[in-house]
Amino acid sequence: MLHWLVFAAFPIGFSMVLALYDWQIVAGTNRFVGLEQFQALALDRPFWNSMGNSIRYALWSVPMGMALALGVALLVAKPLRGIAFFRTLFYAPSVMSGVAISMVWIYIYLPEKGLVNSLTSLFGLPSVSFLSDPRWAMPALAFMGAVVGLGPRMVVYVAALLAVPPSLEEAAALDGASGWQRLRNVTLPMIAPTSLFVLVTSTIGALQLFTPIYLMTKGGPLDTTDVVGYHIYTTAWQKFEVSQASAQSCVALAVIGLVTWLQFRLSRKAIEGYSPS
Amino acid sequence: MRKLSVYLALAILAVAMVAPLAWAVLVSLHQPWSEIPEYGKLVPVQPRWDNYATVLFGTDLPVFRFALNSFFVCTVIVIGQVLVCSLGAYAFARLRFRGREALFALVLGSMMFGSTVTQIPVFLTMRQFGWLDTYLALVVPGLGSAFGVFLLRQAFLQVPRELDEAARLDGAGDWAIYSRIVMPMCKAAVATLAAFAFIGTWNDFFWPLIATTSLEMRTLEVGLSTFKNSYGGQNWPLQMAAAVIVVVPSLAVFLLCQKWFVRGAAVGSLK
Amino acid sequence: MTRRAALGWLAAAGLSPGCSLQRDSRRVVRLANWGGASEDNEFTRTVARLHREFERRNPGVRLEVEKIPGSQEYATKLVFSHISRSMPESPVMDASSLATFADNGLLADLSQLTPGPDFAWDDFWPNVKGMFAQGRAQYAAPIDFTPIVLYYNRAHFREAGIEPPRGAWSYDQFLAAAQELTQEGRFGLEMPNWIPGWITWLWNDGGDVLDPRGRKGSGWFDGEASLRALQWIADLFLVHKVAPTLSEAEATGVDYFAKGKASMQVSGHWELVGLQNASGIKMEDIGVMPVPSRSGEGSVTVMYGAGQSIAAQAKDPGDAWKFVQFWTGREAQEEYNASGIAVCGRLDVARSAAGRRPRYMEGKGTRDATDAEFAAHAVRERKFVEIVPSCRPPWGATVGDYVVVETICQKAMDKVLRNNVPVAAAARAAAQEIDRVLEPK
Repeated sequence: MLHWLVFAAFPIGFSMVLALYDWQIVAGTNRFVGLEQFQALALDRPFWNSMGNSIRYALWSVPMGMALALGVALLVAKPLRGIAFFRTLFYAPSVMSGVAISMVWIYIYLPEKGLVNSLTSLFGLPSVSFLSDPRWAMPALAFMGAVVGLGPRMVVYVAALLAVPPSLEEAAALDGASGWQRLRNVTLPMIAPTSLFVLVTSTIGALQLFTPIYLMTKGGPLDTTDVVGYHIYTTAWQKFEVSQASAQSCVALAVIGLVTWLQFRLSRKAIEGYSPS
Repeated sequence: MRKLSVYLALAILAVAMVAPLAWAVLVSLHQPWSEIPEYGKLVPVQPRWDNYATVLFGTDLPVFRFALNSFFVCTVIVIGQVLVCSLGAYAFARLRFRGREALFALVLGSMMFGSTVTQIPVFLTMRQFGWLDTYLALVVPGLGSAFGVFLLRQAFLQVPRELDEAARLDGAGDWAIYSRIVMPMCKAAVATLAAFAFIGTWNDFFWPLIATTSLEMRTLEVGLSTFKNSYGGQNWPLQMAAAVIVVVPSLAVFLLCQKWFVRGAAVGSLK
Repeated sequence: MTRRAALGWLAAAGLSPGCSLQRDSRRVVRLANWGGASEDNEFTRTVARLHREFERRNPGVRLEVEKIPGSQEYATKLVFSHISRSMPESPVMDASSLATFADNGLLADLSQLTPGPDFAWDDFWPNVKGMFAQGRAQYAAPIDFTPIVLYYNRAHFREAGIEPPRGAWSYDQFLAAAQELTQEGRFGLEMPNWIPGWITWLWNDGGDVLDPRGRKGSGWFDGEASLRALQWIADLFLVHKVAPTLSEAEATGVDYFAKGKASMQVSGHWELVGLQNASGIKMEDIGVMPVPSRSGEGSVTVMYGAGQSIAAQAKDPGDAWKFVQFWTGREAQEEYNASGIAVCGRLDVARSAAGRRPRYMEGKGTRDATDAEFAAHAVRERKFVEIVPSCRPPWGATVGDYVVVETICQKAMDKVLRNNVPVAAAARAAAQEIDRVLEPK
């Protein structure tokens, strides 16, 4: 408990206090400036750009990741021979080193010789520099996030799918519902709470992206992948504007909280609307 | 027929998931500093297994020190998290105190944000203690985990209360109930937590990156990024050999502890 | 082995270093230098040998080396270690980021320390020493330095029938040669987006990144002369296609010049170390000339230098000071400089370099240079010394936030080279950002 106080609760409070100062950590001067940092932040376009990028990343990667996880879960929830092998295989990337994964994905996205470009060139498509083209960098990173983070989401969905009473599906089948209709009208509503859980956790994760940005794009091209996690890092530890970075983290925390709260509100309504039928 | 198409889909997915890794392993066996191979030449004519030796012994980075640091930090954090989280979970599951629910909600809430928000204050705290660039900075902030408390509390709640009441009649205190009844009955949950703690710590990049500055204190994960940065976009064979070396231990732990991973990930959703 | 045994073993292995970390009773001096993972070679062995020699002479002291990859990350990482209160006692200073350290009081003033009998400040090139000084304070003792030059592959020049100039080329002469040299599978020039490598194109066209006092970027980086120079650089890649584009270079993942796939390269003296093991160029074929200027007259270049400094944080600067004197002394420098990494900061060693037969790496061993290689070496070294008077110190020696300015400029160049942003727009945005960074706080 004490530990939690020191390393979770206290930092939040401390952040807020820090943000009220203008602390030049390199030179070692410090003075109280009240809310000036926040005022400066309000007009700080690079910061809001990074906020927007984070939200854009979440909007790309979360739906992709959820759809992929649900799709794969539907496949591996079937009682087939050897299915455990596939589950293990699909889970594996999420236990691997983020640095190693990023290094391999740099290759996947390389122009000309990368995995994706080699494949698309077979169909005569022109080579794309995924990580240095401002149109492609963000979707490319989001796709990577969706694939690499498949494991835990898939497992959660599998657990939920296995908990759906088979009798429900059978009843629907007897009524002549097609596979798609059964999925839409029976399975999905039954696992809606799980989807909410996956949605919330994936979004929170997406808003704190760091490692791939640090290793793959450094926020470029044209600042299109400068997400908030990376932006705070560079402000604090490369420009050494610690107080400004603290103010940024306070705002980031508020945004994450707000988004989570919104998701809970909206989806609760959606779930309620779904179930009575 | 249906089964066949499912298998087909699974196989395609499996190939897609494995291809990048297979590529990494194949490239790691090419001549150092050579160009990125074309598809036709992906399988090296003469596999250069000595690339792995070069990465481990041949560079002037203290690779073994990185590895020892990683193992040491992981081990201490695994043990620490099991202790800290189980005590916390026990309090939330068994003890009655004012504001318990509110506090638990707060702990859960703190699961929401990671190092993005806490990095600066935790860094400055460590600086104040003079712990930066020592094992203390690497280990201490990782000892607790809101996820762990949550996971173990769920497990502890499953232990029938009749058992501790019986024990209490025999004169057992909280400590005895915790150590003799609750913990032994929740071995599976504890194992799950340990597995997650290990992988989480092994793969943590952000905190060691800012908590340590000297090469001697870097973990493998940060060491790998140093390795990558020193070659930039060149020398893919050695880069990939290094990446494979870092991935292997965590994969091994994962394969040994798979079922606990599955359980841990699933528990989260059963709120 | 059962699973449990395996896990137990793992845990034991994990705990072992905690118990077995031996404590050495010697005092530690931590050195920092740029560089990262590098395979075992003659250079790293020479450095290690010299370090052991220092320890032998100073029995109570142990040296520890920190290597930080990326010349530009280096400064940031060091400042970061300062705020972590774990700055190495004796870091190597890059002249191009000295001001950041000096302005914030991160370094000790070496002129205040009492020198030993063998150490004299007059042994160094005055302008090199000057890069590490501010006012009366001297923040580092010079190790070595290099002007940025234009390397060329003599073999390619012979094939194409091109004569290198006596002095420097004009931009037009350079372009004509580069076009001549560019052919199937080979480029005239290799140039990464790295500002130390391309800033001379601005200087030699009347432009600059900052105003002469180093206070602002607007009117300079986006001024007429700089825009003309930036456009010229962009055209090399995008119009004349004499250099591999950034994404082409990324896709192949090789050093073109070293592979014999580019005929010229803008770089510093250190390049020669890596080229010793290059597969596409022979040591006797490596030529050096001044970087081109617009008219061919009055070529200026930038000088980068390394100096050994002492952290202000160092609890006991005595040991570090001993190391600084040892490292920049004649004995250590003669051996160190033989690696060919740069021009020595000491006048005596630098002047004799052309006459010393170099030793080259060969796989993991070494060999003496052949006669042909020795001759080429002597010509190159004399050329380097000849270029020194045309050297300007880098902006970072006097402008504290220049590291950030460099990043901004490189980003602007990236926009132009990769994303087809017009030069004027990219430069204007960058200049405004530079102004904001340099605003007095």
